[in-house]
Order: sequence, then structure tokens, then C-alpha cells
Amino acid sequence: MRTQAKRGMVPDHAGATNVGVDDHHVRPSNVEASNTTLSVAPLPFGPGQWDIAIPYDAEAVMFTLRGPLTTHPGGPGKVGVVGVCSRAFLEASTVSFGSPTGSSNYGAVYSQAGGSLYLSDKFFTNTYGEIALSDARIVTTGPSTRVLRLEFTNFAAGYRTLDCRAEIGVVA
Amino acid sequence: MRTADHGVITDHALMQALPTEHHEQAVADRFTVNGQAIAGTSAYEKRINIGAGHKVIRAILRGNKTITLIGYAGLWVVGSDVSEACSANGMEPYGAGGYLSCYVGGYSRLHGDAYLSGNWSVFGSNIYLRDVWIDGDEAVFEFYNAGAPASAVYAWGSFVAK
Repeated sequence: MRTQAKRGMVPDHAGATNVGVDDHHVRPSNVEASNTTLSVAPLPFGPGQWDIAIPYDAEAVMFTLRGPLTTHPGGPGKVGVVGVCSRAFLEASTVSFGSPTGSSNYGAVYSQAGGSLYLSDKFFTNTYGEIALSDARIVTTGPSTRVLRLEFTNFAAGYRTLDCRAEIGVVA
Repeated sequence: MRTADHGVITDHALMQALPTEHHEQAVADRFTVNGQAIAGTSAYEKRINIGAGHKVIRAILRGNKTITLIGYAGLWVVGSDVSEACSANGMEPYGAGGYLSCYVGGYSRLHGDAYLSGNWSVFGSNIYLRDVWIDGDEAVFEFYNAGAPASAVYAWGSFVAK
């Protein structure tokens, strides 16, 4: 368990020097990104990797990913995933919404802590059944840089191009 | 207040907080309850020390009922240090054996729901998630065995508290 005491925080204004009242606040920025160009190799190769830069002080992220497909025929919404992952652990959990097939609006929950191999339904291309989110974790890439690393597994027979829009809420 | 810098809030008054109240770092961790026994019509509180000062906890919890080959029933839940300020959006298996499809439903203790998951035994036989809240320096996830016989809780997931 990570606690604030391990982070070297300044708990009050008086304890911080040379700063104004608002200068030393944790100021997380939310991030938006999209990727419609990543070519993902089919199994047994891959997965495809997409790094999204996030603030270095990000403790955790809550991410929303949207695919290109409309939920089952006639539905007004698009398929997508809500997830959470953190620097404190490398096992994400997600809720996967919507399916373009069948007569119901599919939803499911995935947790890598519980052994889930994937984190979404296979809906991140224009054809259902091809690309699923398979991993999400925060990775330190330099002395002052971090990314949300998303990995996608392609279940199709050949290469497929990812189609994914991301909104990332940063929790610092 | 959203700004060009993606909604950075820099004003204490705007946050209706004391100068030190909103400086707490977030905590996050995995969540695991694997086979915890509960007597019939009894509750089990999974308590997790998250440190003091946290106002809200968000979690994604997965149960042990399969929806498809790789998906499970479960829910997305928000709890807080304010009594009953709690909600969830749940996935419940539906159909014979719970393997055919699922419901997507919303729950709110704040608005009178008795449970935060439905009657399809999402977290074990007769096991419901009843409530989530922050109690001092602990996050509390309350599971309830609605059946007469003893049962076991299975839940995995992740949470973030801020």
C-alpha cells in the first residue's frame, strides 16, 4: 500500500518556502488522445503498444477508451471501456461496455488481479472480433516522464489497424 | 472551472476546502477477496487502510460469474466519506447458469437501493455488494450473504482513493 507519507509531500503552506498559496498544489492534467494508425500484428505476434504521455506526478489514471463500432444494431452509443490502473500495482481492472453483435447490450468486468487475460471485448477496429485491449499500465520512461501504456491484441488472421479514442483522468 | 490547461483548479475557495484539505496524494491498490466465508444473512466488511484524509474511493470489482469466455460480472462503484453517498454501475449475468448475456444496471444507496449489485450472485452464491464507504483511514467494502446457508465471497479488482 502506498501512502502519502512516502511521497515526500508538503502538507501545509507554511511548510513550503518560496511558494504562493496556489503554487505547490498537485495539478494533474487530463489527457485526450486517439490512435487510428497503429498496425497490430496478429497472434502469435504482438501485442500492439500505444504509449500516451501522462504527467509525471500521476499516481493513478482512470481511462475511458472508445471504439469505432456502434453498440448492437440501432444503438445510439459506441462501444468502449472504463478502466483504472496505478503506479502502485501493475494489474488493471476495467468495465467493458457494449457489443456490436447479438440482441443484447453486452457488458463485462475484467480484473488482472483476478486473472483476466484481456481487458475488453474485441471491438477496437471497424469489424467486431478483432482487437481487444489486453493490458494497461503506468510506465516510467525517463527521469521526468511517464506514460499510460496500452497494449492491444489482434485476434484477426492478418494485420489490423487500431481505432481507439482515449480520455484519461489523472489522479495525482 | 475548466481552463485551457484542462481544468486545473488552483483556488482553495473554489474547491470549498481548507488550505491543507486537498493536498492529499491519491492511493491505489489491487483488491482481492478470495473465498472469504460469510454466515447466512450476515455481512462481511473488507476493510483496507488507505490513510487519513481521503474523500472518495472509486473501484472496479469483478465477481466470479462468467459472462463470456473472458468477461465477468461485476461493477464500477464510487464511495465516499459521506454516509450513503454511493453508487454503482453493475454487470450481472443473465440466463441459464448466467453465461448467456448480462444486465447493465445502475444502483444508488443514496436513493434507497438496498444493494449495489443485483440478485444474480455476482460475488458468490447469494452474495451481494451492499455498500462502500470511507471510515476514517479505512475504505470499507461491505458484502452481504442474503441466503440462509453460509457462503463465500469472491471479488477482485482495483481501487483509487483521493
